[in-house]
Amino acid sequence: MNYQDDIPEDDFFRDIRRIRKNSKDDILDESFKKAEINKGIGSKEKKMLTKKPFLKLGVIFLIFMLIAILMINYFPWVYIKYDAEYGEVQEFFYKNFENERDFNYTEIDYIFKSPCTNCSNYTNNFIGIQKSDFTTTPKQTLNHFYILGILGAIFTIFAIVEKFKDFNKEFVSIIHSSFAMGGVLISIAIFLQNIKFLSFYLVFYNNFSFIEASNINNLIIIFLAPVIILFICFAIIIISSTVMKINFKDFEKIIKKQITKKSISEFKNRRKQ
Amino acid sequence: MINRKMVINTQRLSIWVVILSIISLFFISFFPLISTTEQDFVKKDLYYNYEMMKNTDNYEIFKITEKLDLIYLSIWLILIFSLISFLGSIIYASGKLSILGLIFVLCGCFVIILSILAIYNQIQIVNSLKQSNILSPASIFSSFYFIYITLIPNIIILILSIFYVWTATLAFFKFIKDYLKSDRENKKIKKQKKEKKSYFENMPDKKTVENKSKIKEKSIEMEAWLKGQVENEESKDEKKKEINEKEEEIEPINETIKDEEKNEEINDTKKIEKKSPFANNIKEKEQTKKDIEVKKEDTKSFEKALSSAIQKRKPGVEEKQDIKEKITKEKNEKENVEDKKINVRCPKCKTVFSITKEGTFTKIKCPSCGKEGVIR
Repeated sequence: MNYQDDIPEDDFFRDIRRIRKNSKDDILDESFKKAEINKGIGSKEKKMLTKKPFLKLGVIFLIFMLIAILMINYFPWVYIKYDAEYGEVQEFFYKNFENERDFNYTEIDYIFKSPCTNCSNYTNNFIGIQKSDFTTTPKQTLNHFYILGILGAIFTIFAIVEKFKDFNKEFVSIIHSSFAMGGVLISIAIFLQNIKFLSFYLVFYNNFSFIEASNINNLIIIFLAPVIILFICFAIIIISSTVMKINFKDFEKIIKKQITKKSISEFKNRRKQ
Repeated sequence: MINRKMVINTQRLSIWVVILSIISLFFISFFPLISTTEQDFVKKDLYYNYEMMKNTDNYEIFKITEKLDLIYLSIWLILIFSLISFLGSIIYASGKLSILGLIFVLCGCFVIILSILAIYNQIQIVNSLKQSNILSPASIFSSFYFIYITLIPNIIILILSIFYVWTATLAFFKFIKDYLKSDRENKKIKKQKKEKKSYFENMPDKKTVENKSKIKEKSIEMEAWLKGQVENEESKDEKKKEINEKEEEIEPINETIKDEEKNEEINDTKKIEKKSPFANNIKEKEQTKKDIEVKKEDTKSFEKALSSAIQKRKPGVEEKQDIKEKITKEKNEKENVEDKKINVRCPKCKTVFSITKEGTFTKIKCPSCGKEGVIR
């Protein structure tokens, strides 16, 4: 049986036209939606890729350098408290082992230099820190922080120049990450220089009996400036490494995009073949 | 081409190596590594950390510190190389200085050698501690030795460095392969470009091509036109010459004919007077007459052909003539019509109206009053 027998001719064609129109509208709607979605994603990606790296790392280095200089020069390096024969002694010692009263405590000398002269395995001290460490380590840390400051100053100059002269994004991020790497290295060096002040506590706990033998009771030693410097170093390491990682992730996105583009083109070529 | 997997793997491995090297450096300088049993005024174990070991006068401890210094240095170098490799992976990922980046990444391969050196030295320290009677590895609990803790990150670094070397070398060989491929493709492209350049350099510009084509067309037209003209002129000259020659030929013949006619007339008169004995001569004369007439007809036909040829050579002449004829016809018709148009005044209502005269007798009717009449 023919369908044309049942349906009148005009109605039949009208139905076909309506179906075609509806399908067309549907396709258009779908394509329009897709285009809108693509447009949105594309613009976001573009924004992400066109973003230049955070160029305030030099300023951060300079700020940390200033804080460290202030800490080293004007902040007490160690706080010592003990019970002597004449009473309780508590004193803050600055760099070069200087105190506010300029008083020389003989008991403290025994802490940093062992009294044992006839020991079987002779050591200079029992806690791993000498008095000379309070003169050498501040100097070394200051020098390292100066280097870090110079690095930061160079990078800030580069950032200022970059604002006027629009450099290539890749070039900027490479220099950015290389400066960050320099910062990481310097901060690790400072960290390892000052770690002996932290390791003191472990040795002090283990060798406490030797210190007790030198008639110093209720000894409390707290290192202030070195701990703050350690924290600063830790912060610099984390910031620099994150900066490096961000730069790498940006490049990773670019690689992903390149690979997707290449794969699409390869797929098209294969289809053509 | 950038090897994404390689870049990501090397970056991750180098980050882990950096972290582990920092940890191992921290362990070396933080933990007390060896201990001695003092038997002086305090009979207890004395713990030595790295700083303490540096300031001892004991020969055995001094030897161990030398080895520790080596470990310390090697771990520092591991840290530097791993940071360089991390930077290299960033540079390589940028795709700008990919060769420099790859060199930096390959620098990370030194980590394996340095980690082996560090582990070897640490094992030697452990052995020397085992062999010595005075020294022993420091520990908090009975079996928790700090020297072994410092060994752990170094062993992990060694394992990671093996993976790192594997990925880096593979990436390097892949890079070389891709580079060679791209180099060949570039050479091919350059060759093609050169060929194209040379082809386009030899090829003239669009304007010049157009000009040249125009000039060619014009020259062809000119040649054709010149040929046609020359042919016309030549043919005209030839025809003129032929006509002249024929006319020249015809003129003496005409003269002879005239003479002969005169002679004939004279002869006729003589015949009338006397019957002539030269009948043959008369026949010959008649034949020549006929020939001359044929020649004349030929020349007429030739002239007709010439005129038709000229008409053909000059297209539009007939059309022009037709148009002229048409125009003249129309003019004549108009004139005739104008001639035939007459303004008539009605004798009854005295309105003036124009009519066309048809034939000798034309019936007319006044449009206003309707009076009928005839114009002769």
